[in-house]
Amino acid sequence: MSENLPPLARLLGLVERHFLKALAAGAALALGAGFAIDMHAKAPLESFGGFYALAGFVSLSTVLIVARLLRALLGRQEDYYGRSAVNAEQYPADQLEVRDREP
Amino acid sequence: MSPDTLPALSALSALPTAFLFLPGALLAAVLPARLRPPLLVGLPALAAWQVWTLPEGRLMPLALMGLELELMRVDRLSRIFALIFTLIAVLGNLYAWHLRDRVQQVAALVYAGAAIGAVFAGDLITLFLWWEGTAIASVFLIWARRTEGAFHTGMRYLVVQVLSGVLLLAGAALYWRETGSLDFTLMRLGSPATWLIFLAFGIKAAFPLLHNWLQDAYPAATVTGTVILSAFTTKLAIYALARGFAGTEILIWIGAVMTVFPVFFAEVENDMRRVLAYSLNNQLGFMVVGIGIGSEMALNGTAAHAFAHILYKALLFMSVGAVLYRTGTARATELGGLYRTMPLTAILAVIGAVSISGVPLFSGFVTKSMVLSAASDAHLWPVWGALVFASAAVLSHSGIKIPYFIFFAHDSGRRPAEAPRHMLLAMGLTAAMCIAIGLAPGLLYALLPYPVEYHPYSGYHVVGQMQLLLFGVVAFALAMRFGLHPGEKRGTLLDSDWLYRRAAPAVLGAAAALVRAIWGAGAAAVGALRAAAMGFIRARSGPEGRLAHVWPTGSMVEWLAIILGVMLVVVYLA
Repeated sequence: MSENLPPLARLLGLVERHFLKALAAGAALALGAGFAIDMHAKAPLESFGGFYALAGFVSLSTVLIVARLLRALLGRQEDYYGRSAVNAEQYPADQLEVRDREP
Repeated sequence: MSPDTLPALSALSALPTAFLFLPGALLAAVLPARLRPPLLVGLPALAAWQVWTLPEGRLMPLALMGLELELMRVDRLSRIFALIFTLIAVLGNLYAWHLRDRVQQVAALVYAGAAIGAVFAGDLITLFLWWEGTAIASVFLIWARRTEGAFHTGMRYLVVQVLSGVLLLAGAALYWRETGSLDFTLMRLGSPATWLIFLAFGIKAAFPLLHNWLQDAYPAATVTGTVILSAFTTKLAIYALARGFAGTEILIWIGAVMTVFPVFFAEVENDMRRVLAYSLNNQLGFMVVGIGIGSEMALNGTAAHAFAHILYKALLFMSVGAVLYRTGTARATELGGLYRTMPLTAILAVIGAVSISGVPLFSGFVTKSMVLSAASDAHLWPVWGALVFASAAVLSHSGIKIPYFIFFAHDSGRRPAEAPRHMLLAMGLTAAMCIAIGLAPGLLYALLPYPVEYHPYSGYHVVGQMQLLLFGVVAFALAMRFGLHPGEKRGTLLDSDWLYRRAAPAVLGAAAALVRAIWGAGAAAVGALRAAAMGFIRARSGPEGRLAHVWPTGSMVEWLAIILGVMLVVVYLA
């Protein structure tokens, strides 16, 4: 379906479509550079050229795995604190200007 | 332009900065609606100019009831915090240009003024007064949502904030008794006085387990109120800790925990403004670690990071707020694909996201790395490891989740209009400052408390940071591809607020039921005893009792005759 989108949105769409390829190239470049230059290591393991790549990958993976467990453990219904709690209520419409883009 | 060039402006330097805001708030209370937005933007801009031009020193000592107070202690530490407070007040109020709610507008001015007054306070009493001022003014930004939920949230927020103030006052009184001074300067943690003050600061700085007022309250505030709230209270606490407890070792560990634990909550939270509140908590951790290390580099890092953080966090709250303003929701489950019709907001949100993630050329990179360098210089490897982990984790919720799940990812089918022009302008200016700091960090470094000899753009530093971020994104992309990402789901996450929203009421309810049961049993036993006693008395002395019988006159004569007869027999026998 083609939509009449603003030029900036079309550009963002293009970025979204090619993001993974750019990511792969950037990651490979950064990893290669890590082995090519002196990383001025201060911390243990920091001298390994791919240390930060490993740290980034492991950290994000850890966050995602622990977060799943956390939701299983601490997740409750939206109205757990009552139907009138902020989490369960809608934002007052009279304080907003909800509007769709004009075609 | 120096203050000497214009007499009116020169006179400004004789006025405490906070006192600019209070008459301004009074004026806002009576001005017609169309004149209030210019006042709300212009006044903080004037204050920013004043803060910029003030000389250093103790400018306004005040003797009051035998106490030596200081309203304006201007030095490099207080100036940088006051400066960013005035700037964010300008930007936040520009963002709220459409607002016609007098309550919020007055509260925003009082709140900003109180926070700036507290930053310039040279003594603990002045600090306390402004400290409580921030609490009282800011709650109206929550109540202004005008829902039952917001009212209750505001009450919880107010209780916590006022408690912090009460602890500060108690600590200040003990400190005065202990040292004979109320001077707000570096303290050594150890006495009850300093512990109370430390705890007061810790509540507002959202230390672990004292933190949940933040995640509870900020998403409950109004669209514009949250932007204002995000800037002042917690950073005031960071300033207070930097002033009072720099080099206090326990802060290193508290800060390290703060950087780590919120990231897991942020990852599964559905309300994007609450995600940002958790993220805010994580960023405060970096600053607290810097204060705990206490070296010149670390304190510079804390001040710089606070400055940069206020900007990019406000930018993120502004962009999520703009989405809420146009769609009516900030829930990740109801959003997605909004770049199609809100491309400018999307780009500005991405600038906030890359700034907080520490992408080179943006503000977070040149400030956060100072704290990390200070930790590695001090050979604090476990803490350094926590900070590296947290740096990558920030990327996950603020760097990816916010822009990706709102503006990209699946198409929610929503086609909202772009944010209003004044919001875009405020976000654009804030984004420009994030980029300017990233491109020319020397501009910010020149304002820091100590001379800076730090060069963030070394090759190894840039490469290391890019590896960390890009491989973090790779992990995220793989998790999405293979369905391992926790995804977005409606719900409520239990946090420490559960203790006072559910556990404490349940315990108190059970205690009340127990007391009621004991009271009821006791009352029943006493009632039974009383009934038995009454029955006994009634049986004896009641209308039917023997003692209450009416004796006929004939029986008296009869008994008299019997007694006399008995006496006659006794006398006769005797």
